[in-house]
Amino acid sequence: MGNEPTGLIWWNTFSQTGPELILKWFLVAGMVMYVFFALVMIRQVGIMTETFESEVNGTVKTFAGLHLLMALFLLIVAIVLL
Amino acid sequence: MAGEEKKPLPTKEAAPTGEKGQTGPDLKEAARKHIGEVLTRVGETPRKELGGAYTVYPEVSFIQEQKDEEVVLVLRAHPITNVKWLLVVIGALLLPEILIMLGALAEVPYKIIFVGRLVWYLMMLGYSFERFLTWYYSVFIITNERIIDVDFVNLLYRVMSYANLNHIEEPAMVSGGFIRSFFKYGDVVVPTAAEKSTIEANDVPYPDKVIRIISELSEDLEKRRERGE
Repeated sequence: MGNEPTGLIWWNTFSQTGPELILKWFLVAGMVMYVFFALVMIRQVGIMTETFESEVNGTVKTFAGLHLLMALFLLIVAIVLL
Repeated sequence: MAGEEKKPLPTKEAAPTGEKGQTGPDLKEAARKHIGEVLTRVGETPRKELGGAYTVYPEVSFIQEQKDEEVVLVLRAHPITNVKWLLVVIGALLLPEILIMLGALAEVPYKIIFVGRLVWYLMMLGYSFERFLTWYYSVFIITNERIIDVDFVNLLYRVMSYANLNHIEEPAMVSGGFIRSFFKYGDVVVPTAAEKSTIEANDVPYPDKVIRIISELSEDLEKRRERGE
């Protein structure tokens, strides 16, 4: 065991904990990336609304904020519930 | 959808004399007068059609708008061009149900299916939102002075092109095929004297009316420049 490569140690650990836990962390990792995507979307909505001002700008900004909150909520759900 | 929002065109009585040394509001009034005349000539009235894809004389503003500049026309791609991604989203929303019905997820624990479905639906919501934003904010703006093409290719990439109306050549339109003819949309190509030789609006409604308005505004600007206004 002492001379085993790190990757193999990790693989053994995951194999012993079962596929359920692997799926859980797979979902959590996906959600972390998605939260970053939601943050980028907020930044981009800022640029878009600055470029072109129209009556829907307020709604679009609110929706982008809600989208980020939903992503954070699901990240927490994935960590806690699974 | 026709004639959703209307506002009265400026009257001749309200128009200023157009002499040199005009102030900001005077310039705006003069611009409104010229726009009113041009729109009357092409038989257009202020209106919003096809969910904002064709908006004549809207109350909007954009980045780097000049003091004496008034937006005459705002164009987006025809709403029918969104059908493709809408069908993809509808199919994707049905996918979890189909996989469950087929028993493909029978071995997966219930709580993982539950959270996985929520994540999937959120991703579809995010994708739809991103596509809507790209469609809504990719606009082709025609003012009494310039043509501005704003393209958001994706969330991280913005392209803005400007062309002065007195630096453009004869605009052209490209329309063909069953769907484009049926829904009356096509491409508008405006050659310019600048290094980037054309400025284009793709899949916009009523391209024939668009080139007529561009030509009239260009001609009007030319005459005003000749008069020294």
